[in-house]
Amino acid sequence: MEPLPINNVRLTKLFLLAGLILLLTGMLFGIIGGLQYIMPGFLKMYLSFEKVRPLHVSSVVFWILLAAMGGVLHYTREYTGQNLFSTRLLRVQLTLFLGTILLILISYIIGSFGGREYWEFPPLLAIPILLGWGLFVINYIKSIKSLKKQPVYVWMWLTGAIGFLFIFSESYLWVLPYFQKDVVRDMTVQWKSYGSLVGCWNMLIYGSGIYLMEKISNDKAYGHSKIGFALYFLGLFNLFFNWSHHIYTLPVSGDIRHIGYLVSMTELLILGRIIYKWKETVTQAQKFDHLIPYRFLWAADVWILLNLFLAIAMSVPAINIYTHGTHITVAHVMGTTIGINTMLLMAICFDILGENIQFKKRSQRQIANGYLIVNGSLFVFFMALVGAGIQRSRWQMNQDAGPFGEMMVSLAPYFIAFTLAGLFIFVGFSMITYPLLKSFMHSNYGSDNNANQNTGSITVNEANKLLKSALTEPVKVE
Amino acid sequence: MQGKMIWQKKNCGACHQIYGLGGFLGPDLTNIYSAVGKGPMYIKAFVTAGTPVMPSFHLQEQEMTELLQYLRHVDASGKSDPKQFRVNYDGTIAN
Ligand code: HEC
Repeated sequence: MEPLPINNVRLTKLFLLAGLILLLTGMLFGIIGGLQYIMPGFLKMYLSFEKVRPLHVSSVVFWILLAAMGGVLHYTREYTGQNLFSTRLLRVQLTLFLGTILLILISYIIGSFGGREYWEFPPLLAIPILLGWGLFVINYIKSIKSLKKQPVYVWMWLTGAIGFLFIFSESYLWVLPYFQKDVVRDMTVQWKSYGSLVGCWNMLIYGSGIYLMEKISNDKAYGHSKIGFALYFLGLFNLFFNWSHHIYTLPVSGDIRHIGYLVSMTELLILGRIIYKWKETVTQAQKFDHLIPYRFLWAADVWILLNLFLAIAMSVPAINIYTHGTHITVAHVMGTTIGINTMLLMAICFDILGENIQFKKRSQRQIANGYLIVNGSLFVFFMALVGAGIQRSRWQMNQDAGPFGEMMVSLAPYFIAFTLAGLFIFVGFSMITYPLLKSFMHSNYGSDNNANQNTGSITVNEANKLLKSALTEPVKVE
Repeated sequence: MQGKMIWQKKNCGACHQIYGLGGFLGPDLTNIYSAVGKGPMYIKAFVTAGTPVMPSFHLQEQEMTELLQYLRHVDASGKSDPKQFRVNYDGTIAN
């Protein structure tokens, strides 16, 4: 086959690269935030918590968004075997995002806010993001061309991409007086949109996860299977209607709570299926354990299981009144964004940025150790937040609770544990990404190798063999 | 609703919650306006002076009035205390 022009590949890889840098930056801000919990007043003069929190959140949210877009675009090209519709659009899209993200981070540092949780930047900056996303949608749709007989991941990418465009706009309805003047209406729309936004990026990321799994296993059955599409529709249904657990405790109508409760329980189907299939998953894990991307897919599977338990529990209103407003919510958010989203995106990054890269044995060991450190410390992180949440919940539900400040002091051990665990998560991810970034840079941004690479189905088997022999050979101490 | 914009522009929500949604470093402020022993003067004192963690915000008189109006509106919209709910056996809640 004719080799394809390399511009597309280079650009899609740059999305992942920029994402990884934002991930590392975001984690650094997270550690500063953690330190501010255990050392009140730390850096207050320069970067007080109302700056650090959005710096952390926006950096990692844009890690997720950039990497999700990069993954979808790269895989779309690989899947169709043709260049994306427009390299120019791709370039403008990337420039819009990187420029805006930079402005957003600067606006936080100088203390210029105006938005709301997750998008605290001045609302004008939402416009270039929306524009950039629009270009992403156009490029994707034009590249896919037809929807006939497409596998489920093509649909997931489509839904996630278009959905985000509308729902991101919905999350800005607050600029209209009708929403702004009534706090309950405003917060309802806000949290409804946030629930669905996360659903959209999950569509993009899970879609790529399915694509990657098919690529690794060389088994294309799932993408066209009934169960694949059934789960997709269930996900879509939840994307639209599973959000009201955010606002059970607001003065909203009982119907909203009941519907939310019922819809959430459909997730039990997903949970049931995972448990039912667990043995199969484990067997598969043993088969592909030597592949770095697969390991991350596997970690995501375990985290999905753990997080689903918590998410479903939190969706029962009677439990939600105990968990709402406590760190248990934070545990849920961290468990899903790090445990699920970031693990899947790491798999994607290693697959895409790492293609054609042969890691040295030392690097392989470093990645494997980083992987263990990340997952182990994420578990500690998660449990520390659950612990803090339970304690806070007891305080909230106690008729004659002491003052807030006293409760916060009593949570100090949990805060110390979660800050330390956060530090280790950062160390682990640095160990994982450093060899990837280094080799990638050395390969001249992956371009040389990719010039003569088209469908991307490079020889998973070949990679298997190489990695297997690398792993079974005795390790030299360097 | 100018007061809401001040809440957002100063990013009070990074540290404070309204109806349990927002940051975790400071207390929930949904009903601070009508809380016994607290109220507008108390809020004003905190916002102006700050605490070891909370910055002192230099608001103009007009901005302060609008911020207080916003917090009064939030307070009047309902109660955020989760203790108000009754739990039913089917997992639903009622107040
Ligand atoms: C950097 C975090 C931070 C930011 C930003 C912040 N606060 Fe605070 N605030 C706190 C903390 C922490 C306390 C609790 C002090 C204590 O009880 O020890 C507090 C206490 C208060 C109190 C007293 C609450 C009570 O029940 O006693 C009020 C009122 C208040 N803040 C209002 C605001 C307003 C309004 C803004 C925005 C203009 C704001 N705060 C921004 C951290 C913050």
